[in-house]
Parts: sequence; C-alpha cells; structure tokens
Amino acid sequence: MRVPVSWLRDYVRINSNIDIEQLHQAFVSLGFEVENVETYGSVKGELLCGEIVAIKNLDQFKKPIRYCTVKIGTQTRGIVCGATNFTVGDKVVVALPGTVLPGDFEISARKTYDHLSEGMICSERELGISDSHTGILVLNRSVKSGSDVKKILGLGESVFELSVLPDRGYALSMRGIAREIAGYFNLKFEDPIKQYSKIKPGTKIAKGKISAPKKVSNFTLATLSGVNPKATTPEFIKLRLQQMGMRSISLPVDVTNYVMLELGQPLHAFDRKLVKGTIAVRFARNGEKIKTLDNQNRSLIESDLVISDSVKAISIAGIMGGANSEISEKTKEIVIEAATFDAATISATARRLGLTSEASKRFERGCDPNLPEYAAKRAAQLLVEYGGGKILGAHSQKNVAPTHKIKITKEQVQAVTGLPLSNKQISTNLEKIGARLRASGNAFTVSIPSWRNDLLNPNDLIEEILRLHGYQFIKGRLPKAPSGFGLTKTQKTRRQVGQVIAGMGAHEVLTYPFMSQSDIAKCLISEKDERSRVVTIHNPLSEEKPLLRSFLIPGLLEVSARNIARGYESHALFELGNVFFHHKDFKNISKIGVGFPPKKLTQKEIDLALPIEKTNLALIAIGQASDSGWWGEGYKHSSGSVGQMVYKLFNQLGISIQFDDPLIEMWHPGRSQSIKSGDQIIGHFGQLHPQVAANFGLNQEVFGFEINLDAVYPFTREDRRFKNFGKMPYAIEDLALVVAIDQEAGVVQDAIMRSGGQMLESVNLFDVFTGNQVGEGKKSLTFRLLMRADDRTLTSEDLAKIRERILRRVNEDFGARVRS
Amino acid sequence: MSAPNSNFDPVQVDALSEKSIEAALNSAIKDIKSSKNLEDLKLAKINHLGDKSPLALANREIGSLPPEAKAIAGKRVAWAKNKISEVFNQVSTKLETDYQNQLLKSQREDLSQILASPDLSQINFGSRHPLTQIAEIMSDIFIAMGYEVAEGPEAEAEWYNFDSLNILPSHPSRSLQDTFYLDSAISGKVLRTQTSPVQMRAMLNRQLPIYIVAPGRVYRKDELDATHTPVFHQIEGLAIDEGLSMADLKGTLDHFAESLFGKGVITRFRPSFFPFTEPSAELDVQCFICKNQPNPECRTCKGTGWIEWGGCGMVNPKVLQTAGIDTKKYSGFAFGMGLERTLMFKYSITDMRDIVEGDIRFSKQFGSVLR
Repeated sequence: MRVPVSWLRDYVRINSNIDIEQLHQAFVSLGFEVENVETYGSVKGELLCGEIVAIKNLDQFKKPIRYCTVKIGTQTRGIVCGATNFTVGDKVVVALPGTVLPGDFEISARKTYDHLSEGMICSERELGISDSHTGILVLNRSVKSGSDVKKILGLGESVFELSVLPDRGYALSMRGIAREIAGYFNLKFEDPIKQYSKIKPGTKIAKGKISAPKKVSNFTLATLSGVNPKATTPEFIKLRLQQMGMRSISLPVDVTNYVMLELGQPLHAFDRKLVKGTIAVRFARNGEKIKTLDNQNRSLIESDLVISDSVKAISIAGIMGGANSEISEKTKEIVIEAATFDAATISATARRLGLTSEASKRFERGCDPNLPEYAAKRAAQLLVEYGGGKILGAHSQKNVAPTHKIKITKEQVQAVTGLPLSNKQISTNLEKIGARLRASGNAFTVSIPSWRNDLLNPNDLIEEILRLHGYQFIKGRLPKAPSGFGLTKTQKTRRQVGQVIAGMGAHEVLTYPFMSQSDIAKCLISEKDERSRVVTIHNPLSEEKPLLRSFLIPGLLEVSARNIARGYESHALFELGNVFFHHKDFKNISKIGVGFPPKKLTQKEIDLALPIEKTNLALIAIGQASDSGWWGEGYKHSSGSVGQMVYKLFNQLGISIQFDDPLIEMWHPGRSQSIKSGDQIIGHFGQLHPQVAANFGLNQEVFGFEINLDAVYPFTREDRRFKNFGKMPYAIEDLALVVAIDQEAGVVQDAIMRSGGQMLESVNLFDVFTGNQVGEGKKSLTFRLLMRADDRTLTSEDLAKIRERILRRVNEDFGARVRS
Repeated sequence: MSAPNSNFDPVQVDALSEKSIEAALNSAIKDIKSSKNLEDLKLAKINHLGDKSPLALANREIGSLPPEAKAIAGKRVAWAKNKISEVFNQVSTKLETDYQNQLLKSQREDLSQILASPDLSQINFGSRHPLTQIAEIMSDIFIAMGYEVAEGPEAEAEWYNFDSLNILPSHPSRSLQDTFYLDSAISGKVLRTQTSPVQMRAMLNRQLPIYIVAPGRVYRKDELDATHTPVFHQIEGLAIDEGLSMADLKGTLDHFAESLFGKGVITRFRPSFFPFTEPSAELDVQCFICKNQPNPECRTCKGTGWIEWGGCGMVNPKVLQTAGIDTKKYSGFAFGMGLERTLMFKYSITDMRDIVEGDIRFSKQFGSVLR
C-alpha cells in the first residue's frame, strides 16, 4: 500500500512539526513496515502549464522533430520537441530556462535543430514521476495556461510504501491508514464517509440478485446514464493514481480505482449496453469459461463466484471483470458494482487461477459490508462531476451480520500486556480504531467496527490497545521457569556423536533430504530393502528429486563430487540427519479442522500415519586423511581408517559393537563390514562398491559408513564404571603367530585376550605379514602383549605361564604356531 | 732432590712455599677461566690438576718435610687444589651448557613452514556445521533459564502444522505453491513449514508449566538463491504458565539477545500478525555492531540500528483451548527465528548457498568452536 502524504492530509491535520521521519516512526510503531519512502519528483524553479499554439514539423532530420509555439500565460515561447503525442490545443508541462529537473539537469535556452529552443516540454521520466518516456506529459485541457503545475503533479511530495499485514484489510485504503495516523498522533480523524451519503434507489436501474447468500453480504449496483465517453480524468485523480502506482486508463475505470484506494471498497464498472437482464452473483458452473479483462480465457469451478447477467458470466467476482462487458470509449450507460464477498472464497479462486488484482487483495483480507452504498455513491458522483450524465439510482441486496461485540476487562488487558493500563487508556485506544465502548466499572462491552473483521476475541482487542499505546512501552521481566532437566540422553548423545566424528577430521554438512528413485538404483539397493520404502513428495521442488531420503549416502556423494569439482579432492564429510520411511501400510490423515482438539483421531493414530523418521549418521571419505608434506608422509583414507572411526566412536559412547559380513550390495564385498549391536545390524562401513561410486561420477576409491543412531541410543550407558588400572612394573612381549591366510585377526586377538588371564592387560595387533618366510596360504600376525600383576613384579615364571596358556589356546582354535 | 732437613722450616722447600702455591693457583685459575671451549678446559685441567701439574709435583715434596711441617704444607696444597676444582666446575658447567645450546641451535627447524602450508595438515580436525553449533548455543541459553529442548517430526500432520495453530484452510501458506505435501494433496501430511507444531505436541504431552525450545529443520517451497532455501532451520520457544504476559516475553528475549550478541544488546517489538499468537510482534534485535550509535554505513543493520530477527507473541487463547489448556488459569508466549538468518547477520554471510552447499571451506572457517 502506497501512501502519499498529501492525500493523508485530507483526513488528518498533520501539524507542520510532524516530519517524514516521525511519520516513518509512526508507521513502524503501528505495525506497518515501511518498504520505501519516495520523494515524488523534485524540481527546482518554475514548472508551468503551456498551451500548444502551433506545431511546425521539421522533416530534414533522421527522427521526427517539432518546433512548437507554446503560450504560457501571457508569454509565447518557441520550443523544440522530439515527441509527437500531442496536438495543437493540448496543455503541456514547460520547464523554462533556469529550472532544474531531477538529476541536476538545468534548462537553458539554446540553439538546436536550427531553431532557438527557449525551454523544454517535459515527459514523466524527465520530471521524475515515472519511468514513462513514450511521449511528453499531456495535461488535462482544463489546466490554466501559465499556472504552476508542480502542485497538480504532486512534485516534491513524499509517498510511503507500506507492507500491510494480512489481517488488516481496512489498511489497504487511505481512510484506514489516515485513521491509524490520527490515532498515533492523537489528532482528529476526518472520516470521509461522514461527508458522503448512501446511494438511493431509483427507476430504470440495473437490478441485482444474490444467488450465493452465504458468500455475499452486500451486492449493490449503481446505474448511470448519459456519461460522456470522451470525458478525461481530472489531474488530481491521475496524480493520485500515479502516486499509488496505478496507470490512468479512462474516466470510469480511474474513478472506480480512485474510490477503492480512498475507501477500500473495490468497485467494478460494466457497460450497461453489454449486459442483459438481472445481474446475479452466483457460483460458477464446473468448466464455465470467461475471458477476463487481461484477455486470458479462464476456466471456473463450482466453488468460484461469478457475476452474470441472464445469459453469461460477466465477471469473476471480486477478482477481475470479463472482457464481454468492458467499458469502452463508446460507453455512456454504466453500472457500478460495489459488493462484499466472502474472503476465503475469493482467496481460493484467486490462488487457483494464479490471478490477483487490487480488488482480490482487498476482498481476501476482508472488506467492510456497510461500505458499498457509500462507495457506489462516491464513484457515481465523481463520474457525473467529470463526465456528465446522471445517477439513476442503485439496487442493493444485503445480508450483513449484526455488529460483533466483545467483552473485556481491565484486568485481562493488564494480564496480557503486563502494563498497568487504566480504564481511560483502554477506552481511548479502542476508540481510536473506531470501536464504540460501553463501560461498567472495569468491564467493557466493545462494538467492533464493521471494517475490522479481524477482531474476534479479547486478545485481538488487547493487541489493538497495546499497538496504539505503543509496543515500546512493554517493560521486560524474566519469568521464573521451574528447574529443567537439561538435555535428554538422546540429545546429549547426538551432540557427542557430532563432536567425536568432527574430532576425527570430518566436516559436517547438512544436505537437502530429497532424493530420487535413481539414487536408490545407483546405490544398488534392492526392492526388498527398507531403503526402498520411500516417502513421495506430492509437489516436489524439482521432478528430479521427488522423494524423501531413506539414507544419507547419496546426498553426501553429491556434496563430495561438488568439493572435488571445486579443487578439494581429499576430504571427509559427515551428516547427522533424519531419514524417512513409510510404514508397510499407511493411511491418509482425515481432516480434523481448526480449533478442535484431535479427538476424532488419537495422537497415536496420527503418528502411525506419518512416515517413520530415523536419525542416521553417515560419512564419506576420499583421498588423504592426513596430508604428506615437509613433515613427512600422511595417510590415506581406507576401509580400515573409517572402520577405526566407527570403532572409536562407539568406544567413546560406551557401546560394544561387533563386525559381520556385509549384507547389502552398496558396499565393496571384500572391503566392508556390517556393524552389529547385540543381534541388530545398525549400519555398514568400509569401501563403497566401486560401481556405486562410479554411478555418482566418482572414479576414486570412496570409503565411509552409515549407521542408524536410534538403534544405539538405548545402549548408550550412563552407568559406566571406572576400572582400576595397575601401577606395578609391566612387561611387554611381542608374539608372532602364523595362521591361515583367511583367519580373522579380530577373533585371534579376542582368543588371546580371553586366554591370557588377569595379568594380561592389553593385546594389540601391530603387524601383518605374508610371504615365503611364512609359507603359502599363511600369514603372520604380530601382537604386542602388555602384562602386569596387581600386587607385585612379574616373574619369568608368570610370563612363561601366560605365554603357554595363550599358545595352547590359539593352537587349538586356529592351528596357530609361533613364527620362528 | 734436597737433603733431609733437621729443622722445621717448610719454606726451605721452594715448591711448597706459600708464594709458589699461590702462583700455581693463580696460573691455574687464569688458564681455566680463559678456556674458550671444553677442549681448552680439558687441557687446563691436565696442566693444573694432572699428575705433572705444579701442585702435584709440590705435593710429592711433602714427604721430605719434617713431620711438623707436613700438615701445614698438606693443607696448603689441598686448599689450592680445592680452589682450582671449584673454579673448574663453574667453568665446566658453563661451557657444557654453552656446548649443549650450540648443539640444539644447530638442530634448528624452520617452523614458519607451518604458516607456509595453511591448508595442509598432518593432524586433521574436522568441523561441525555452524547451524548445528548455533542451534546448540541458542538452546543452551534457554537450558540455563530452565527450559528443555523439545522435538517433533519433520514429516508432520497437516493438523499439527496448520489447523492446531489456528491457521485456516484458506491461508495462503497452505497452498501447494508454499507447502510440500507428502503422498498426495489430501494425505493430511506435510513437511513442516515451521517448528511451531512442536508447540502443540508439547502442549498436548507435557505437564504444565511448560518451558521449551525446539530447534529444527523446516521446509518451504522456495527455490534456492542468495537469500532463500527450501530447507532451513528455526528455533522455537514456548512458555505456558500462570500469569505470563508480554513483559515476560520481552524480558526473555532481551536476555536471549544479550546472551547471544553481547552485553547491553536489547530487542524491539513491532506489531505483527501470526494466527497462533495474539497479540503478535515482529522481533528486531539491536544491531550488535553499531549498538547505540546507528551508523548509516553499517552493513549488518543497513544503518537502521535494528535487525529483523523473528516473530513472537502471546499464544492465541484459541491455540491453548485446542490443546485443552485452561485459559482462565494459564497463558503463554511463543517466539521463533531462523537459524540461517541469525548465522548470516551474525557472521556477515551474504549468500545462503554457502550455508547449504556443503563446501568444506565453509564449515572449516568456523571449525568446531563457533563463537
């Protein structure tokens, strides 16, 4: 909504000491965001109205040039002009030498195109009024030659551009805005409606009929005859329309727009000659067609409202008129429609058709049902005043709800605002919005003005009281919340997981949780796999990714490829995020509606219909884990390195895990493992199947893991016990065992640990060796054993016994012998 | 070799005379002190404390002295030897230290090489996404005030996301142009467009009074550009208790702003409209860069002194009633703000795409220690 300050002054006497900065502050404080404040054209020096007396076309140049004789009051000047959109007798805007136009463009008398040009005939762009430069600005012929046109053109005026909140339909009018400003500055509001009257019935008028009573509360049609179709729009209306960002089209259209901007009531003018019989407002028929004023064919459905005559639809109610009944330069008989339509209906139709108009914007927010008769009269009067003819009268059908009343008390107001507001402050502020109050002690019965359909309950009124009192007066205080219990176990674990993984060198990314069916195929995921039970987005942003992700790897691979493309070939990325699956059979959730507790469906039923959400942790590692450089050799990411990350993570969380053979084809069959916690497989780690990597455009070896964290939360232990460690002298011994080449080292380590006894403190595999020395089909595993007794120094007999026990066990279990 | 003496006069043996011993001592000290290095010192030691040193030779003469004189001469020689050893030890320690220092200095490494390879590393540490970190920082401020962190699903029932929060079916935000619907347009399931459905879940499932914050991911059908992303994050706060007012809301948000942006940073309310709060307010935070003296050049607040941060208000009694809460006894406030937006103005990030694209250079800049 644009607000020219000069128009505001018509209804509020804004003192001269209220400057633009204060007005700006007022709008912000009242809840209107100021998007822009424009100074509408600023011209220094005189700008006068001139009458074109003679035109001499100069043909010898490449473009049309006219030498014009212009009469400005008593003086006559010769001016060269490049525009052609005017004729003799037209009134134009003349800047004489000495005048400075926007952009510091000073006009001087100079010789051009072989003639002395003593000034300039101006276009709108040259005056800084608009971008229009299609020709010069032609004034209404009623403007007096020689008069200063700066005021007529509104030059130097400030125009605010406000954004109006969606519940404040009344503020899409000068009347509504002026009432707010008057309230803010405690000034008197001169309500324009008080100057106007309702239109009266008459004879030979167009008749209207409401055929959709629940959706229409006022349907008023005013009929005029004998309007001069050649009549032009007066300058003040043109100027204001332009300041409001609208173009001047024709007198009837301009007047309906002007009254809409003034009062907030959208109006539509029909050519009466093109309309047959009674004009009704009714629901459209399914598939009914209408060509709207923008020359588009629109197809309607039965929940749309249309205006129709006895034959055809002539307008989409509240949104846009039809081309079949449009005002033209021949129109003499005019019907003005002023109606109040249901907000939700107009909004739904506008949204479905993707068609919004100045009218629909107002109807969607709600219009005053008591306004149509006033607005129709105001428009009819303006038309007659500037276009001649006469008002035949109006037909009005109404269905207006009685005045809404809300009861509030001072205590309620104080409790919500936290401010010690008095009865007087409450009543004054409510009167400022046009409400009427009946007080009884500290209780008020408030009659809500008909243009405030947004005020439904006491809190709505309290907001208005607070808004006009000023939100800036709210004094902060801290409530005393009861002591909380901090983060839940799961929330703590989730934070720790991120910290541990980042601590191991990986960078967290947050990818969009969208994916495609082809991502599933590219990862070689079978149909039976849970990951194939994906949730579909009905209206995805892109048809390329219409699914919610059921695992994180595809998103990470995409980010990985992006980093490689940007020159970072070595990296480890991780994501901790939600994945989505459908239940095997899932239902729609039936409508419950606004303002009802979910009784019809229990909360549990709702949750069962929703997709299953799990939290996964995934990592992708490519290239070097640590760089090589002047400090020495770095190391590469590998199945082993990502596996160690997994192992260390669970170690930190105090969860024991086991490894097992991989079960899904996404992973390299020889270089990956599934991760088990108890009997449950919670994820996989290792090298991605090279085919999968290649499917994502990655030709290098890609390592990583993906783990479902929900499965492990229950196992995170908070009752971890500290284990005492010995401080007596230790002994270290290396044990090289030769075993079958396919023997799993983890199992051997476990057997050593178990058979070593209490004095064996730790066992770590540190070397693996194959080759001739150990024989074909064999490998050598070297373990480092650290031994210690709790209470004394170990003796050589102790060490021999431990060694003997271990060797017996590994020999029996794995046929292992000591490497000589 | 002199003849045996019969009378007591040690002076008779010249080498043992006080004067000779003193001369030997002085010569020794001079040599030791003038040693430039450990080799010089070693030589001085041989010369002055060795078997053939003047003092050693003098010592041999003691035997030929009469018994009365032996003791005195012995003492004199021992005193001189001790004195020399003392000086020797001092000089030796110093030269030894100098030698060690020289040796270590010769092992010099150019540690500016570290600065010369800023992007390479032997030791790698990763980073957590700044959004994750700011969500935790914000949550922790509220946890300190006694709040708990509440959560809800991202794939949410339309009822929780809209209806339960008094957002009418005709509200534009519910259109297919703005909200992602799951399965079909009539499934009743959406990707939540705000963290506010967590409010309703909390009100239905928690005991009163309720003080919660809910950080989380939300979805709206916007194309990704410099200032929009279809997937973003919010943090939501809700308090339901007896006697809560706009004053409690303002105090809470002022405290929040001060904790997050620094001492003395306050908030400003402007009237606004949200279906689930009444009264409603836009929440601005004072520019923490230019503070009390708005600078027209300030890029953070564009010279206005205030930064648009979020929305807030008193929970609409209709919403409380939907949750079955007695509005005669309880009232509440709620607030919410975008995490991406907070991150952008707090750290002068100008392009939303940098936050969402996963370029490791973005997270690396912040590391794991966002402050």
